[in-house]
Amino acid sequence: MPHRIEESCIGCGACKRICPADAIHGERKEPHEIDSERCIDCGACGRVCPKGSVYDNTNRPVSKIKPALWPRPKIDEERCYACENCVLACPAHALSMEDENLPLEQNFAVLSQPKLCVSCGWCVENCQFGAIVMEVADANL
Amino acid sequence: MQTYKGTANRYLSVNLSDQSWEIIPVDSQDLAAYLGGKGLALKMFLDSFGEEGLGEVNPLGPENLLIFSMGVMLSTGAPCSGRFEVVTRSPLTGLMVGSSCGGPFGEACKTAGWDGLIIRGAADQWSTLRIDENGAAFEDGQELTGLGTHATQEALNLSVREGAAVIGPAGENEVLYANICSGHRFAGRGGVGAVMGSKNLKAIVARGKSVCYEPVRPKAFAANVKKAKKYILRNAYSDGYRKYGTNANVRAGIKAGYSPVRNFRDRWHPEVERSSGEAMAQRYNSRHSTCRHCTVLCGHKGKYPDGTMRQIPEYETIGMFGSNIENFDPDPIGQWNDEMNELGMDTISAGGTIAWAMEAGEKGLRSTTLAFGKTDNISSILEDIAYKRGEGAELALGSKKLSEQYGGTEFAMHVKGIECAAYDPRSAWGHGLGYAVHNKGGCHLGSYLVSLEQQLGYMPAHTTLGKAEWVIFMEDLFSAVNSLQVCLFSVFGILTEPPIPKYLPTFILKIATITMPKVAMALMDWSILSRYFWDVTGIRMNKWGLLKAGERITVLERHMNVLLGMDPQSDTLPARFTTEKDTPYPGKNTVVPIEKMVQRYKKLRHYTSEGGPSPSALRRLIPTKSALKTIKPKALWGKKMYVRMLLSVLSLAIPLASRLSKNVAKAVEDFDEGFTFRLMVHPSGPSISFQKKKSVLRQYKGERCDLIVALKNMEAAWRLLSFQESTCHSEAAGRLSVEGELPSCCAFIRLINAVEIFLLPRFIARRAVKRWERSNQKKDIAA
Repeated sequence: MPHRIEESCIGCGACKRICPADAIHGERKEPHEIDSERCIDCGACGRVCPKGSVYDNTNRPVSKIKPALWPRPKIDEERCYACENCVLACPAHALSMEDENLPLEQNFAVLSQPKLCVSCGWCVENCQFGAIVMEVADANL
Repeated sequence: MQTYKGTANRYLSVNLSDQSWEIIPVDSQDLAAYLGGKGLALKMFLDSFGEEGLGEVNPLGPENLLIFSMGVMLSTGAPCSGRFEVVTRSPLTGLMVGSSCGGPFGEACKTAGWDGLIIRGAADQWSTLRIDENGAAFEDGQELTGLGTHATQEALNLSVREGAAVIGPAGENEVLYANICSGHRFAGRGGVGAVMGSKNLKAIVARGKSVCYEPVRPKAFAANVKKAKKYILRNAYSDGYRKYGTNANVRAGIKAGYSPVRNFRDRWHPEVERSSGEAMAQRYNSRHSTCRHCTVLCGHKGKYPDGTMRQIPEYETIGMFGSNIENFDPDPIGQWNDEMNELGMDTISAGGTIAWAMEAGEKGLRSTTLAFGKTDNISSILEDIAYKRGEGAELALGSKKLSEQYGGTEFAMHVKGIECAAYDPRSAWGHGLGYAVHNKGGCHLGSYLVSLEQQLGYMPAHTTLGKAEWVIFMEDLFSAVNSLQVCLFSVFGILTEPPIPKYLPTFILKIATITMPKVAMALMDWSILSRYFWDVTGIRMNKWGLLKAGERITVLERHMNVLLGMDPQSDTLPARFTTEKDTPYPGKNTVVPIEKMVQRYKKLRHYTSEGGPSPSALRRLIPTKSALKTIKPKALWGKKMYVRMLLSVLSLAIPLASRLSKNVAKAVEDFDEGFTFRLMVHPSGPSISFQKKKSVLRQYKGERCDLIVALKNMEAAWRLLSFQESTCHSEAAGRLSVEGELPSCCAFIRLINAVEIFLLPRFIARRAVKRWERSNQKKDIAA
């Protein structure tokens, strides 16, 4: 079962803007809906919802978290083999390679668009080299 | 999200003719015997037609099955595990073909909850099949026709959860060597795309990420994966592939003389160097572009001089469209490779057929616009082949059919109809044997002995000694690997990194591998692969078990090929490799003594004059449905002695255990005070009796018993007491008879299990009881 939105939704559209899979639709100021066929269960919609209207796949409400506190991929340059599989796997297109002109063995993946990252963890799943860990960028915030 | 332990064990069977679908369950016995992937798909193919009906299957008719089979490793995150196998009857060879692909379709299908997809029937008009966790849906595919493979995938507008398997125009027009594309990877050989095209199926879209899988033994699996990754990452062979792709083979080929030059006429040309992996990596500033979950990273892309980012062709394509047609410029090969990928056809077969046509034209057998060294018309010819226009209509048939029509069979470089890959076997005789006897035909990935003979230098190349043994070994291993579905390239690291092959001096390896092949094999270690299977599925498997399963799959495929009408004389090489000795190669020039090696191979495989396995060999390999062994009541005196001895030991050990072990004492608590029971062997074997007195067990001399557990005969007692069978298994097989009440019988079985766990070392106790737990024993000893 994918994520779903309760009737308490006020239709602010925050979830629709953050959804990397384009799975949420609905008119402004109307309750939104999640397309179960497209939802990837990342939970970003719930973390940005001001009303706490999103329920996850185990039917628990998702609580709001400030985007700065989301765990995001931290890529270890030394361990990265530049296979680009994380870049391809990222549903939000938040990752890219450091520099296409670098020699292959010196190249590595970077989180080039941290604002797009929804902390789904697909990059970690797709890394064969253990080069990626999910971390909150600044734990003091 | 639903989580499966191990694997889903179900295939989705879709009938395109009446747009219906059903679920085909897989039982664990079949999984254990055929491992999944290719093996299970072959078994299903045979089962659905039966031995009699198999020969009637028209490869391009609606009755042919197209099976996508995922294997147990997919989506476990193991290195190089993002692969799936496509199995069908090949229109190019008329035999069975299995083609492996690393595209995203596999993972999407598997995480939709299906271990595989079986496609039968044919649609009335072009259609698209969509599958998800709920089953299959059929859509019109008319508007996708004529689109190339990548254009089709773009037009399908795939979401991030979806993966597609599509065909290009070549598949639509049933070019006999059309392929299936997923992402930018291909199930290339044997014309699987033509079969999909004959079913009027343009694309299959799977929506995944609906279920997930976890190994049955997660800790052991994680440790095994770690070891595998360590081996692959430090292996020099894999490192070459990581840096330069499969084109790392080019330089080795120049040195060893296995480059294909001018339709395999010459084995060598100095300009081949221009298309070496090293040169191209520099020229195109190469980047990785690989399958998912890859650790080897052999796929590369690069920036071509015209500014386009292209997939750098694999070694085979570079060979077949480079030196083999006398073109030494790598730039156009990249462009043709892109075109062929878009059209959806196999580059090896296309290259082989074009090279044949060039030579046939040169010899005046057939008029053609193609000529060695002439590259300006290749692009248009490729398009003509895909759309079957003009000369292309003939070239779409492959070199075997063309050479039979026009003559020139001696230089048609195919085995069983499938064009040989870009390794000249005159430089590696074992590799030649691999081409000749491989079930699929002239594919290099049947046994790939050139790696051991020339690239790694583990065995002398120009001898027939030991080659048949090694081809058999590698064929079996590769069949198993293609059924687990991990990448063959990951096997080199796994096989050659353990200390024995790694640190032994090469000259010892060279002697040992050909003079004592069996010993050399036994010293190698591929247990990582068997442990993959064990840890994921929970089905016990050691390295020999895995090899045996591989043998079963290879021999079954051969048996099916014989039923499909394979010519036993086709286990040979093209005449060029066996007769034309002199080439410009400056090293040792030879011809392949193929007859001798094939005879030895067939003898070792127990193949008959019909080319397939003898009925007894087949019976030995293919398991019967029941796992229970039928036994005869007679037993030899040695077994009787053993049983008597063990029972007398037990008569002392059980009372002792009931005093010492907390678990046994707990099991004894279930009996009433004064309860008596006896374990005996019918009809007149030994027996031991016990009585519960003052809450411990003592030996009992009386006649009457509350519970009598009798083993029906001495052989049954032997199997139980030598731990070949657990008590539960013995009971299920009806080898135990019980007189007494059921609850006390259950208490008795619990008691015996507790005693076994207490007394026996772990590796024996695990065989004897249903569930062995480490904690049992630790607590026990502390008590």
